[in-house]
Amino acid sequence: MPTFNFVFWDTASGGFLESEGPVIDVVISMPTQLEAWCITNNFPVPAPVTGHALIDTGASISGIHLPVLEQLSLLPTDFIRLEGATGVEEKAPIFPARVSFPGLNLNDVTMNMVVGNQVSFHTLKGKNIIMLLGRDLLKGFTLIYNGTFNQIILSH
Amino acid sequence: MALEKELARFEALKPTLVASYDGKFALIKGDDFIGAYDSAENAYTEGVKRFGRTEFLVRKVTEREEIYINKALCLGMMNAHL
Repeated sequence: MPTFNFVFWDTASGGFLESEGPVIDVVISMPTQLEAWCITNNFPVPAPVTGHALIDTGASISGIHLPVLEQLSLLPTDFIRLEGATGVEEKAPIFPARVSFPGLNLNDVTMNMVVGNQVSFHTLKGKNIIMLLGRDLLKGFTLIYNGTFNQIILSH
Repeated sequence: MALEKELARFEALKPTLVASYDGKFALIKGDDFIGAYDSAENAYTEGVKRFGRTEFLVRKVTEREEIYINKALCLGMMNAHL
């Protein structure tokens, strides 16, 4: 079970785990089935989109920024009932996607259900968040949030 | 709305699907129920094979629809700085 340490500290600003949140690199691509179909049928395969994922233990399902999914020519395969902090439900489109986490040496994870929504923002350090990594993926991980040392530890 | 026809078809077929395919994943294109599969991935693979890069529905067959929770997404809290 490989273990990966992420340290949120630099000499200029000291620790920044609290302000940035637990963020890791992510690459989002077209699902392999659709990529193979596009190649066979001479359709262009969109380039993978790189950005950052914010680990969100409060989310039961992961979300990806909707324009990223559209950039990858993905179409929704269903709508789910999604509840927000106020308890209000909305219908949210879900998509299949393929994600890789270079910092975890974890490539081509097939996700059959990710919510497409407006996720994107830049952290104070300028990292472009395009994904919320929820418990549907975290169920395969051990996560240690060490706020004292501005460090997160992930193993899978 | 996307998948409007497929979602209506699923609702119409739901009692029959639950009786026969509870827990499996239904693949529906337009008014056509294509089949039920053991996983969402298998249903999606079949959908891509048959329909390529067009819309189709992949939905879990279950009596009670699951409610997912994602507080930050729904509230628009992603841009909040306290």
